Amino acid sequence: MNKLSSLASLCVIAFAALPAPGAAQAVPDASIAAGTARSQAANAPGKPGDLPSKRSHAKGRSGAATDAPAVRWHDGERSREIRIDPARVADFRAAPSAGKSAVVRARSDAEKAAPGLPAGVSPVFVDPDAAGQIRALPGGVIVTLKQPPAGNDVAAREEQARRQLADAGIEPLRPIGPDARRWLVASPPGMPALELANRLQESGVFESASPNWWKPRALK
Amino acid sequence: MPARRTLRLSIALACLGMSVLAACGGSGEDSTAAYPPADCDFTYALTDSPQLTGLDPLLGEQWHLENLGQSGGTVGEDLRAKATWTEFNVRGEGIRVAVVDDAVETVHHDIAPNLVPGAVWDYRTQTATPPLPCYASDDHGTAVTGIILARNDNAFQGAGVAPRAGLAAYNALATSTDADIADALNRDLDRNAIYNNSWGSPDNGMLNRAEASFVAAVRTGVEKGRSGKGSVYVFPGGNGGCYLVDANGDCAYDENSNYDGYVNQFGVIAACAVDDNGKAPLYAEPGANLLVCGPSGNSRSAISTTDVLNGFRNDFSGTSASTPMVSGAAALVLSARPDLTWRDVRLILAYSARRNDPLHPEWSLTGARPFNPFYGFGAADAQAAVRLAQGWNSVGGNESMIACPPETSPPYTRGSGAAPFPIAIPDAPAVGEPQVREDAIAVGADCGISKIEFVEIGFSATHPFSGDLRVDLISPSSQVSRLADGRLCDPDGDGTADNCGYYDNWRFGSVRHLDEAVPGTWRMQVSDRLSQDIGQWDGWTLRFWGR
Repeated sequence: MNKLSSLASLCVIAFAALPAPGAAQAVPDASIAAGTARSQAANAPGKPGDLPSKRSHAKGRSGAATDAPAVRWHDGERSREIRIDPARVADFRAAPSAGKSAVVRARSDAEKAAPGLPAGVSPVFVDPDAAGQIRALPGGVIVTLKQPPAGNDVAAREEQARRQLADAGIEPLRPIGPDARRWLVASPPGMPALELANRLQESGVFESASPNWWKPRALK
Repeated sequence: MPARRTLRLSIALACLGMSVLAACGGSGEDSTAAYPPADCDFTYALTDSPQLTGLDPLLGEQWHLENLGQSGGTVGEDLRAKATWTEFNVRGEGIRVAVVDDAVETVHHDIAPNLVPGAVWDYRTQTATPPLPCYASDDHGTAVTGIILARNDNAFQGAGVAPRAGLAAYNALATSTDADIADALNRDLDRNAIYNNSWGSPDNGMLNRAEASFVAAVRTGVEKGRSGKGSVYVFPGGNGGCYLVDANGDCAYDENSNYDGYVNQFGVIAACAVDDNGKAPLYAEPGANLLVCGPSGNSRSAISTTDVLNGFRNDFSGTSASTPMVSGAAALVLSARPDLTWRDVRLILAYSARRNDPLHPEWSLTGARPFNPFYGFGAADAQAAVRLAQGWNSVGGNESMIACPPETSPPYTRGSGAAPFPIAIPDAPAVGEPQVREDAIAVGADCGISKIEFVEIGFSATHPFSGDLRVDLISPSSQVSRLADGRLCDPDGDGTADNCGYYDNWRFGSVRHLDEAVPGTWRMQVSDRLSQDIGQWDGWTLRFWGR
């Protein structure tokens, strides 16, 4: 069954034309920038005969970013490893005035040379178990309190939670969900967000603390 | 997205009435944010326009509401929406549906009448302003919304499946952060009955784990939504059928909806697609977590629905289109029986689904319920669903649901270093059938579930190419959930296969065992389907929910 022609008619979105790691050009690709992927071209069968080949133990667990530095983070109870893409950054400074949540582009020479990235710019991270799938840190940490604040009064619950977060030295931005147990708390974009999340997770004060990841999701 | 449109420049669009003027940004709760930016393709100007009544002129094109063969398809292969309106006089009244998407043209003349005043959130600015499209590519949510609830009998374009349902519009996909997604799924939980999400993980064969904040949001929604009756979450099964082709241009590998962590969650209805002949489109992907299918497009015909700039389009397709069909059907069910729980809605949709494409070879008729990995329990049938709902005795919500083992205990577990694990998985032979490795979990009669509603399967294996593995779960009554199959993955498109992800206590979900009893011996079979590499099976777990 030849399915090639019909895939073109789908309203599917995918993760089109991400530049390969190390690509030199800046790529403010609209599909990436929107945080969603706009065409299945990268995943859909482009040409007959182009099935990927298996290379024995090809990329191993570290995928395409074997040489990139690894960092750990916590997704709920699960500890996960992720690698920093040395070639690309996600720039959140343009949003939302350009209507784009992030622009993924190559690191500039200045960014390569500097010890840190400018404010509003995050490293691009690659899941070691999912080569080609990227994420970045626009800022913020998702914190879950060990217990939901008590009481039926929504405002009182929120206030109670805000005090608890402030006591822990963090700035609550907004609750997530109805019971004021999960919060988005403030952090700068990039590595500081990941570091704060890990510090909060490892403090034992909270049930969990995870970075507020940006990642492309597919409109289907 | 098909190449179907050219960029259009700013066009003024009229709003309907004063209540909508606020929604257009005239008096939002916080309209101080600088949005839309100057470089938007679209701008919206406010003028009054008459509220019309009369027949919708394009209703006849919408074969998914009533298929008379107008698209070249088969008469009767539709959602039975019009039949539902006629027989039961329900059109979604009193039910509020949240559309979580990239943008929604809430001022569209076929959408604005149904927008609940104030039920909007724009994540670009974090303000209660309408999440209007800005760029030409921001057209997805408007099409999705029209399928669910485009206004009927307003002498304008067509109609949605539940054309009197209320709309809440949230554009969390515009920012696509974990916090915004979780926030949207829990926004106005008391008032939103259904959350339509025509998005998910990329369909490229990779394992994509749902983030913990997503899992928590869905859990919160089914527990606390609608004052404890639970919100209904509908997501697409995906469009990854034949995501890789061979040298002849023939389909080499299908994605499987079980690789998408979002639709492996209990509480999520995974919607597949059927075309205007009631058959699987070429992009259909199988999965043990698919509940029911909604109508959608194929290579010949597509779905007619609302478009940006007050437009109407005839080319919407994929499971993005079938998902709002199922959401619309759920809205009709809840409109007829607003007292029902989220579990009731799932069960009613499954029990009332039509066994479409009856000659399809993968229908299994021997279990408690007929199931097909491409169709779930079949094509959603709103008319049959509402009919069933009218006499339905509620199974209850979370409070009456049984979990085995109880959620305070670990799941049934094999492995974790205990013999015989790890179990070596031999490589696929060049010729002949692969060797199958099998393990079993015996569940005693102390588990009181006589009717399963959902099974969550944990799976751990170490393998350099996880896509080599086929994973099957087999119930005591010999019904099979195929959870994964042999495939290649190349998400970075470099021509070299990548590992398809890591089975590190990966969570599969299955509805395939609906209404089976739990007690008995559950088996898992694992085999390597693609030669060149070997690995080991490290363990597996099971947890059941039901009644």
